[in-house]
Amino acid sequence: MTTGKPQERAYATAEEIGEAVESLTGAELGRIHRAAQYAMFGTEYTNPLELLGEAVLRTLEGVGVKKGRHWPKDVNFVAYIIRAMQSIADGSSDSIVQSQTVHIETMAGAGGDAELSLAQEGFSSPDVVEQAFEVEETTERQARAVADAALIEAHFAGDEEVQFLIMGDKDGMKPDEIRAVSGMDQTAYDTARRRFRRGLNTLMPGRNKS
Amino acid sequence: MKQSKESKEIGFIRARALDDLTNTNDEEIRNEYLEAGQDMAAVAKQTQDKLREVVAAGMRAKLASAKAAAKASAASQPANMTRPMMDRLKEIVAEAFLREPKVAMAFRDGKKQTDEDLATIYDDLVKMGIIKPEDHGN
Repeated sequence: MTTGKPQERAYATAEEIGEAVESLTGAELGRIHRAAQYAMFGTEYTNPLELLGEAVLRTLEGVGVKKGRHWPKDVNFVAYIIRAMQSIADGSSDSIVQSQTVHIETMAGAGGDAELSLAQEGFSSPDVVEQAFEVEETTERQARAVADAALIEAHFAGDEEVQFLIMGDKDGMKPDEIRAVSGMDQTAYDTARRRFRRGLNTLMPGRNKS
Repeated sequence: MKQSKESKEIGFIRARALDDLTNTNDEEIRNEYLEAGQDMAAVAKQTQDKLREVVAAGMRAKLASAKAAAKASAASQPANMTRPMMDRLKEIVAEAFLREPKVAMAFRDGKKQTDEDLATIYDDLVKMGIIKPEDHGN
């Protein structure tokens, strides 16, 4: 277990961010767009590209300054930008200072170094954000969270297995816990997961799809 | 204010969907676009265009801010080039001291001042706004 200060790491310059954007493949861009769609649920954003643009802008603003978001160069750009969008969607602070390495390691989980790097930058899952920070929430965001959760539930109302997933996800349950509660085996669980995600692909509540 | 229960729940759903996406390979993602009747190439182009637009705007903003900082720094440090000739400079400083005796007292310490000292005093008086170079044709 690491208990000392996080190591100094190299962050990308604005030019390197530009180069990363230029070198993205079609598959990576398709993945990023899809991620932006998922990350947008429950937020005030009305267009996935708006959220993506915000993540890149904040990263550029963070170049050369202590405050803000930084892309650690040892992390793949696609992984970084997806986590940046998630973090913005979660409403976590721009200038998170993690003082408790235990939290970082909890967040890093089994994902390895890239996850640890992102965690050290303040990218984290909402439960840990909840533990560590007081999150400010706008009324608009709260209303959007209620509306989008209702929409997702309504969309999958006829699919009992996916309903188990949603219930489990909402409670922060782990996959094996959801399987135990629902009685699904691994194959049924994986298939339901795919159905759920593909269903989300078609759900864009009152939003511009571009 | 803490996150509401609903925001927390949708946050978990987002996190799980993104984790699932991480575990989905490129081929599957491509197929999903096809199934949904979406043109992945067009989406990819739109996405890259947006990214380029944001990067270009971010670069422009950084450049503008660097230019503004350089301009502010140049304005606060008058260069030798903007100073008048030494004889004229002495007259201007003397006039300023006549107008502002308290300032004169603060700058004079009883020693004889060299041309270099006077040039520095001139710069300081410009910075303080007591001497306005534009009033003297500089």
